[in-house]
Amino acid sequence: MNKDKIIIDGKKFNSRLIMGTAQYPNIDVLNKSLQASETEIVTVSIRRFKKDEKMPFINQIDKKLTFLPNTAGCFTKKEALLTAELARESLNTNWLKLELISDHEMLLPDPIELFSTCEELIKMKFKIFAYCSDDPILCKRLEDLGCEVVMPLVSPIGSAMGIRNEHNLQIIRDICKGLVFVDAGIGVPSHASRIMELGFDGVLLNSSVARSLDPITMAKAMSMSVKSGRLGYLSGAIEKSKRAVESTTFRGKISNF
Amino acid sequence: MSNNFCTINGTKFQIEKEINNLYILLLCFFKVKKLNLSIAVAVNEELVQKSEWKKKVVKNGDRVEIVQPFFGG
Repeated sequence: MNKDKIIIDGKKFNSRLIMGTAQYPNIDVLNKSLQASETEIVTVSIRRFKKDEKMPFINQIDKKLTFLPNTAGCFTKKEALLTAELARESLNTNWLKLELISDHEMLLPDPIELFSTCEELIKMKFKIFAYCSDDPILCKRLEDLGCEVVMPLVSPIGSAMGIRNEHNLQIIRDICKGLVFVDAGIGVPSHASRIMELGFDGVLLNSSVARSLDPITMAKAMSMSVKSGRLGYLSGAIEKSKRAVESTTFRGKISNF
Repeated sequence: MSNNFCTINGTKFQIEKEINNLYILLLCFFKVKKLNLSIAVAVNEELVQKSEWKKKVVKNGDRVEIVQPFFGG
């Protein structure tokens, strides 16, 4: 398992769990949760500077972590392009989790705006982690376009509804040969584990840990689930059967009364 | 009293006249002698790279946005 590292943009990582940093009760719980999750990559947003802030958020987070800035809250290509440039300037990284949403209620990604913005950002040398819907063709098109990681949702952001269309996920995994992380909709550890059993490269989650009653313990549970699901996938699960397949042999049974 | 204003993060900020150095404006805004922050700046919806701050002119009516990393998912 130690050899099962994931390589993203030429960098090796042990953990396949990317963690969000929002909605935690306080910074101490956030830091302890990140530690418990064993994550190496965390998402951050880009927001207006607050003059009254005692210490900038970024100074309170472990500097060993790799930061993945997002474009959360962007509805248009124009907004996303500027946010991307500001993120690169602020964090000195060309990694970007591109979120382009279409509405306030469902926060669903706008696939048309997303695709066109990805095209432009890739030309601008960004490494795009594309948050998208679970449409297999869209995922494949984003991969072919050159996105570093394709990130389909399983259900709306923060909904905790888990996998709503496993068939689509299976098709996505079959046709996308590059890195695919599942992002958004995870509620409980078994969701994360199932995603990994399907062969996905990793999971990105936030609300399921941050909003739980005990985020530190939930972070640990998510970490274990991602590892467990990954091991399950690598070890080659048996095929399903409509009929029973005996585990204990009938041979050698003492009698047939 | 000058009638010239730029807006910084949505708040009006009085300027004497045209400021030919964005860096000086940022020092005034933060009330510091040196900037050592993970910030990025846009003027009128265009990124101004750190290397350009000292050359960037800020005029009456310009909109300055100063951003930083924040909690996010």
